[in-house]
Amino acid sequence: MKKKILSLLLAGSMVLGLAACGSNGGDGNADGGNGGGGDAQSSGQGGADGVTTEDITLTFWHYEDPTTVTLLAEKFMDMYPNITVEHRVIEDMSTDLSNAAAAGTFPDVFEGTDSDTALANMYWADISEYYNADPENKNLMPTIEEYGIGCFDTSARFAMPMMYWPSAIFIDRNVIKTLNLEMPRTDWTWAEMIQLIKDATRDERTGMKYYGLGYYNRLDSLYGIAACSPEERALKGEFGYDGTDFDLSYWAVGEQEFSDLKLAGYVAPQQDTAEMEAWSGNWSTWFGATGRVAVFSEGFWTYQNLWGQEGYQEQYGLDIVPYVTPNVVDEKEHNVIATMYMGGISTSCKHPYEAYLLLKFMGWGIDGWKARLEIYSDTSITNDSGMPLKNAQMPMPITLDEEVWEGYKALFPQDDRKPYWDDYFASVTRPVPYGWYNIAGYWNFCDQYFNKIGIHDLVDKGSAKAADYVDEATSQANYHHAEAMISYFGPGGYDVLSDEELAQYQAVVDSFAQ
Amino acid sequence: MKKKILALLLCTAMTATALTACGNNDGDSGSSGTDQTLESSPESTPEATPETTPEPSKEEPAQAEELPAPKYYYSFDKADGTAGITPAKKGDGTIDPVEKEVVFIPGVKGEAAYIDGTYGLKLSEVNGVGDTYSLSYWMYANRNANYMPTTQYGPDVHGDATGGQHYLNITWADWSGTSEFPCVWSYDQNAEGSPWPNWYPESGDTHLNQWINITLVVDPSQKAEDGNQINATIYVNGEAVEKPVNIIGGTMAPSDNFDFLLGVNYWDAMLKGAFDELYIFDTVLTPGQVKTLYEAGDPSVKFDPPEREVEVTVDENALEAIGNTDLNAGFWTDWTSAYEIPNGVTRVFKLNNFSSGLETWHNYVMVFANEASEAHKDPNTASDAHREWAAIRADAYGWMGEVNSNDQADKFGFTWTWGNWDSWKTVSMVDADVTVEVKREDNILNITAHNVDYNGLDNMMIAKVETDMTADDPCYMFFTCENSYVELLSVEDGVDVKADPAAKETLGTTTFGLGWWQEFTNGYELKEGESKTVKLKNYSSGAENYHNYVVAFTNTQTTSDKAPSADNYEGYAEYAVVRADIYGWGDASYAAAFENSWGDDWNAWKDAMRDVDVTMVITRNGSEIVIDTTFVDRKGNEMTSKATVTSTLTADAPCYFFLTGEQAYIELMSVE
Repeated sequence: MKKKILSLLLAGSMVLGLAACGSNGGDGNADGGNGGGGDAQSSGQGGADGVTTEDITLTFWHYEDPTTVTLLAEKFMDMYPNITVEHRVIEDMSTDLSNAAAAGTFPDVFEGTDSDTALANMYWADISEYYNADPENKNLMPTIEEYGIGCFDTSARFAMPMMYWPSAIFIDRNVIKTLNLEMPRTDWTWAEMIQLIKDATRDERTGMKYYGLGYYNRLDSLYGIAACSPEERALKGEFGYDGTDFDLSYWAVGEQEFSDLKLAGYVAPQQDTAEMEAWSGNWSTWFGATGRVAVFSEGFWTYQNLWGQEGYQEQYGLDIVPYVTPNVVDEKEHNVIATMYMGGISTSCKHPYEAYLLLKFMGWGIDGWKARLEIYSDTSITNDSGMPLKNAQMPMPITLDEEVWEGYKALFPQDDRKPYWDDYFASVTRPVPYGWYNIAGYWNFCDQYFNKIGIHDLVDKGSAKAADYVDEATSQANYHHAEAMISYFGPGGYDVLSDEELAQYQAVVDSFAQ
Repeated sequence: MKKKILALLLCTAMTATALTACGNNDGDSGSSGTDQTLESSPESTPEATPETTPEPSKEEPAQAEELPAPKYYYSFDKADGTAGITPAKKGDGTIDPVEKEVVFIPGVKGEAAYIDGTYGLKLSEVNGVGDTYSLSYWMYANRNANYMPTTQYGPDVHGDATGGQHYLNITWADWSGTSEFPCVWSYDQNAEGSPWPNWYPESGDTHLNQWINITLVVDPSQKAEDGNQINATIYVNGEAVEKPVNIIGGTMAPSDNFDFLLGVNYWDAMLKGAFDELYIFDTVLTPGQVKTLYEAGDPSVKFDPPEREVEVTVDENALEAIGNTDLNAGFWTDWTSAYEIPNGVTRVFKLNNFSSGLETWHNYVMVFANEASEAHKDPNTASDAHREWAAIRADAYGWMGEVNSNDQADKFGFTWTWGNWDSWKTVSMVDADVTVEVKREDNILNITAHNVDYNGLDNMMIAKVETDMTADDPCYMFFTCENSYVELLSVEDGVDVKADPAAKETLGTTTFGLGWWQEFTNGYELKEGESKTVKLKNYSSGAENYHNYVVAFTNTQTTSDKAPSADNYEGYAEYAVVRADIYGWGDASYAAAFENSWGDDWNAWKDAMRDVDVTMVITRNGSEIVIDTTFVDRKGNEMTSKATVTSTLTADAPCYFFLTGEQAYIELMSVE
């Protein structure tokens, strides 16, 4: 059962009609407020800038460092003195939000670790009008618009990327030097990366070996986006998703390649394992601090939160530089898989325009980012753990505003590693979010098929070949996606699909059932 | 014979690169959207946290006070004996005793009990003392992991007696964003809302590799804000952590099912380290008494783990043994019989390998030749036509005549999973359970060796050897060894466990990691008078009769996402549960009659069940359910069984069935 919150409370309180909200009447209600959103400029007693002059409170639930958000909220409240911002960190998205919906304490603005939860329950309102009317949004990373990130393959926008971390490959230059290897070019290809991983795996049959790869992100995730040229298939999501359907044959190549690397001893053990204890002598060692791993498939935040800490690399004898996740074809400007926490305005929000301003400020807006840069630049400001805030989950801007980027890049090394960072930043302007952020039904597919079978484990252990699953998994993925699209965006949900779209998705569901 | 080995060499000498606990990385957790732990928040390293100057205490420091009489006390001194101290490890939903002596090392006071990471300790005489209690112990941890227990106790830790877990675990967790100790996690699954308050100290300290004294003082009159939970106090090295510890009640309630566990629980990784001076009081200790407990220990005592003692045991049931238990026999001095390796067939050899640990080549060696040869006789003298195709050592080195794998690596195709030859040689292979799979494809020998050490670590070696033999040449394999003692335990045809994408539903993993009552298919309705044909593939280790599929008949339609129980399905009840090995149980009216075609030859049946196609025709008539089963094994052999079961089931009652299993991999192919 859908846990629809009181989305329509706000409709009556809003001054203007909602005809231009990209949709209407998810519940079939006559007041047409489903999907939320107000008119593009106001939601109450508006001032000259369209912002209410009433004293209001907005609640913001998020996953960021709370100290950072407290400081950002202060900056926002300086801009809008009549708006009070209250915030908290979400511990468990589904539980926290469903509890809040039941208790009538739903936040006005919130981020999500996955989008299915928010869409299935119609938690996010349609923000198309606000977004489309905002000129600042014309200068964002191009895939936001090209791929409709936050639109979920509909004509409406329900969310925006709030925290962006592109995937990254890091290389320890000290290891490369020790092994007498050459640093690769920064616009390298996938094959060059794999070859480096193999070349940098050295086992002298005594003591600790050198591993070519240490991973947080599985290579198949990265490969899924980098697998081919746009001419071959315009990939805009994991598992070969092109905006219409899936093709897991791309994923299978990456999955098998990664598993083969693991089985062949090119991949360092994970932390807190017997394998790690056998390799390093310490159960709790992290491979990224051994000085015996050359290439890292890491979250971008690993640099900021660990390697980027003052003195860390010196302590462990590391010299870490970033590389773009390479493409299979030698294409200079290509997509990269990315962590992108999505955020939106709740359908119960009574002040959607002001909430949009807050959402933007906390996420991608230039004002918000300028405020962030002030905070991040001052390393005397620390969080509860005593960490400078730039080392505490600092995301990357998705605005292309030059001033913002100038300030952002200044937060990273300015020594002989700077060219690597410059090349890296230049190469991550085409993010594609992991599937759970932007593909309806993705989690259902994973939960009810992919994870249930345990495909990663089976392939990693050599018990099965990834190719064995391609046809079935493709069919399953397409079914779960189509089923979710109908459920979330059809007449029983946001009701933003055309009859033709509905028929297409229904055909996939029907075909699967047969 | 016993042989001392510097087992802990690695812990000291090999960590020159300052390998302290750090890193935010969770392995697969950022994978293709297929892991639940998507977005564990990036962490910070504890060592980077600036130290803050502690505020001066506003209270007078506690003075040591006399202790009350404990309800339980374990000195862990050898002189005090080992009564009630049971070395035990986690099984599949069980805590299983292991055949180990309690190992004593110097402790903070007298001696301490050491555990090596492969087992923990169960204090089998401890029962709950009620909600008013204090628990104190010293410990030294070499390992930490999320939820790895130091102590875990409760009236029903695993939920076996009441259907709901009820415990308290003092553990590591990263609830604050970084791993730290002591975290306190208590849980009462049967209580309203199934509360599991989790408390963490916000110290950012794992307290690894140091003696630490923990005292938990529980006064049930100190209620938490919700009015139900208890605000306990935890002391670290005699000092109270100011943040109150929120726990649920009843974790020390007496019970016939009470567990008091050290370093082990039913689910998580096992601790490596030591315990000392454990007290349980049924009183609320004062800060002064806690201080007394702390001051009674000396944390400066050097942690001195024992040298690992490897006992070369002789398995009387081994098919053959080579080398000697003094581990000093030279190379090419002993040989097993030679076993044929037909083209296209996988042979599986199981071995015990005991090595001197002095050299990487002091282990078993596989030799492939063109003719059979007898045990303990030099195969080179078998005949004038003798020819050796290849010799492959356990340490991923081989030769074929004048060609060796150092010079022509591509002809051998060696890969191996271990990353440290010192630990492989001195820790893993000195006592390893080895499974070698050999599959011949014409002239190619595909060899996979799993060398599983005492820690359960599987050091896998793979070789793909391009020999000079032709597809028509005979091929035999025998083992020889050097400075080692090798027992050949079994030689079997291999089972190729391969997941079938066409499976409708699956249970377990291809490595047979299916715990009892852990996974279930969806329920399927069986109407009165109806027959349903169920086709499945059953893969099993073949170790036990019951390591196979199980079919359960219920009054409720269940789904695979929830355990079948009254907690999850209102009014749920089982009519009967029938195992593949024609054994069953059921409700108050349960009765069963079984027939089978294999008689008492259970070994043949177990072997068949390692890879078998199963067809069950299940028929319901009134209160009777009949299961006619046909098994077709990997060799094409057919066996049958018939189970006739009666229960409280009546003709007008609902009836459904689902599959579960244990230590098997099961693929449900169809239900028609």
